[in-house]
Amino acid sequence: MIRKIALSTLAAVVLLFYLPFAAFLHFTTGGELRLPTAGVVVTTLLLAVATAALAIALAYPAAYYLARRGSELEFALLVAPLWVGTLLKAYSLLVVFVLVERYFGLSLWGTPAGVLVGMVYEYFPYALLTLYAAVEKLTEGPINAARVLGASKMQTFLRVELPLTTPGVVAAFVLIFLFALGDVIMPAVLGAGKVYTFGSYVWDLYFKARDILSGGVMSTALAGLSLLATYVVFRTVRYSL
Amino acid sequence: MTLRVYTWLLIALFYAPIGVVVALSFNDSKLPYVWGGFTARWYQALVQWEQAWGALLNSFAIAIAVALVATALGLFMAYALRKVTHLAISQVAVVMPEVSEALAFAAALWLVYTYTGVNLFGPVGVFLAHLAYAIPMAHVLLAPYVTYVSRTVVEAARILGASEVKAVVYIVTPMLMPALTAAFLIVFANSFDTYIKTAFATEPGFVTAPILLWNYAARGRGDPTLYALATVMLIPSIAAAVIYFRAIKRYS
Amino acid sequence: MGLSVALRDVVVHYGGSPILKNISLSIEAGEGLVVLGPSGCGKSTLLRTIAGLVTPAGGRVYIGGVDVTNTPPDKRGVSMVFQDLALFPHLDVFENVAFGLRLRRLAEAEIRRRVVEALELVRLDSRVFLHRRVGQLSGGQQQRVALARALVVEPEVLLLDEPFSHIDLDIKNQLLEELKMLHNRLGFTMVYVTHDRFEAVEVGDKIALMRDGEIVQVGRPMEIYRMPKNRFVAEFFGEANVISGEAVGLAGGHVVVRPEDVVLGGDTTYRLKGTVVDITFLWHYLKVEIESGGYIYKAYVDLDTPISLGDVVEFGWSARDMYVIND
Repeated sequence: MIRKIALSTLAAVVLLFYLPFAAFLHFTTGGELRLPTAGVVVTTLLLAVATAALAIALAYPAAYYLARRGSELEFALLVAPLWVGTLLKAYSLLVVFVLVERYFGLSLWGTPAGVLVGMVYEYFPYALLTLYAAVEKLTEGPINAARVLGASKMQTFLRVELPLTTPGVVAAFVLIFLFALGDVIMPAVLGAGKVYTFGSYVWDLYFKARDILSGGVMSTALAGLSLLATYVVFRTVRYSL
Repeated sequence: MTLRVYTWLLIALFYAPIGVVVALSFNDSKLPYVWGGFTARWYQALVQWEQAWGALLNSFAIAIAVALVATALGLFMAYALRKVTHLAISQVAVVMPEVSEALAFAAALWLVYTYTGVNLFGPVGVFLAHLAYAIPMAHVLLAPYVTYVSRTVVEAARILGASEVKAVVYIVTPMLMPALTAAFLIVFANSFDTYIKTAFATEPGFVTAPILLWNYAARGRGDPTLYALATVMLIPSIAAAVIYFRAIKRYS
Repeated sequence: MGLSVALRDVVVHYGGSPILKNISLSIEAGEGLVVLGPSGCGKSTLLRTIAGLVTPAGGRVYIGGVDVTNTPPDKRGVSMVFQDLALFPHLDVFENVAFGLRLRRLAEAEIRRRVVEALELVRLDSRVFLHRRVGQLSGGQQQRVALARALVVEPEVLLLDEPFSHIDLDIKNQLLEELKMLHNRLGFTMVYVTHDRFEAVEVGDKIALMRDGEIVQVGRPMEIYRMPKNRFVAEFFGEANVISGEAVGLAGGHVVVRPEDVVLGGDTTYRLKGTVVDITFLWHYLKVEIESGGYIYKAYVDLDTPISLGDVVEFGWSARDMYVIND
């Protein structure tokens, strides 16, 4: 009986998340598809790449430290922002931006930099968790071996530890890149409508143009991209273990 | 040592914006950059603002319902469907871009409306939209812990006279209690805070806390009462995080 | 007083490959049967089929003469001790043992009385252990809790799946002896699965030898030892010299001679000459390996036999100590 419930639930999940791909059929039979402009796509891609790179660069040292010598409290404190809603974070940053502009004369609201800060703030915990898992899996063996064979601590890190954690870095990059591609809140709140991304475009298709089918195709295309990327990540991670 | 300093610097940096909002909610001044002394008046204003109360209550009710149902179904899935492919389906659903899944759901609600005339936009739509995402999430969260309950333990219960359901109730559930608590809290906090999925599935008459915050604050409008609202909205997240880390410790 | 167990033409598949091939087996009420076989022979699956944890693809299972093939495990009236014990880690000793009784909705006082009784039966002091968490117990103590948990429901049939494979030899021997006594006293039917022949003869009135999903031979230990059905049984159930029939003047087949029947020197029916290639001290005797005509012969001899490596010796056995098998 439990198996039946579980299977029906799984079926519901499949239906909901994978059936929208059927929306493509509408356009193969002659519907008009509204595509975003190249500018929107470029802005989105650049922002997503920058977000992923920055989040990983910030998270790697912390993840390394946590996996080696960190306390539970430090881990908890760094991961806990995961539980704070995106909108709340965006709103807090908005307030901070006001203060920054007042005291440092640096204007972030409505700029790509401001949106970037918001996205890094939002997705940092994902980078941390993924990298932490990768570093924690490293065993003492290869590290000790490198040290005994005459590598300095820095050399050991560059030649042994970093290559061994590359799958984790790749996984984190793809994950955050995807999240950032579809982000709506940060561009809307921190970009003040001036930073227009793919997420904003899909949003407007639905809420302003009421073109649900074009919106559907756009978002399923995005979803398809994530399917592919997730597959790549799983393969990378599996073969390196 | 430097790494430790760096880590704490990051922690400080990440909590600063939230701290600023909490601090400003007690600021006796309408301007964020003027400290006018300590006050609780924005909270008094919040108490009198009926729409805010209604929104918080709506969020709370939806989140509780979603967390309960999703945890139960997620447990069933994690327990009964141990194959890797089953988990992968949920895993992919979880990493779907937020706007995609929200739109997919809105499309589903539209279809229901077009073909049956039943309008689900509103509380029911919001509940279902949250649930659709929460179920795969609970499944993914619980799957690693289900292996903690070995097959033979369940079999032992069966042989001692427990039916399939009783084995889950008396053995699997208590053994997984910490993980279930954790999954419940994550789902709860997620549902309570979520904006996009709610926006796509609701109708103007049904307002949740994030919707309200968006309507005022995200446009740079409103007064410090919103700081108070934001602070109140933090409470479930903090509670969830604290209880989560205590619960999950039991497995290490 | 225990119920009989019978399997008729039971077939079990797993992922396309057969685990049990047409198994038929009868166990009388109150009997203690050991299923013995190398790992992977399907003996655990056989046990799990009796328990109802595995549904056979073909054949019937009977308990007490009733067809239980489609009865779920909770309705079969059997009890089981698992290889990994499968104690409930979130419950203390008392609640672990009481679990089956609670499901039978007995009164609290009755549950308490029977739990204490069951713990005494397996020689655990209930005053000390009643409210310990199972994780705090030693391996032997956990073993006893698992046994108590299985016995407290007063099963008609007790199934044990290599229950003592993870504990020290001394404690294992003690538990085996206690189990045998409990079996004699309480009269349940017992099916005990193991890959260890020493354990097998310790608890079993009867032994069923399995290989590759089939039962090769069933009988009392002595019968199987003296009259093995084939080469596999001869070599798996005790040590054996298996020699081709031609070597002793038979038309075909093989003969089995147990090492304790091989005599050095002496006036025996069959006599050979060979070189001693190995001598092992085995507490009560010496095990001597002698090479002759391409065979290594094993012989058990007295500790004070004057013998050393490289000696050329005469050895042999009498006709009545030789058993002929077909393959």
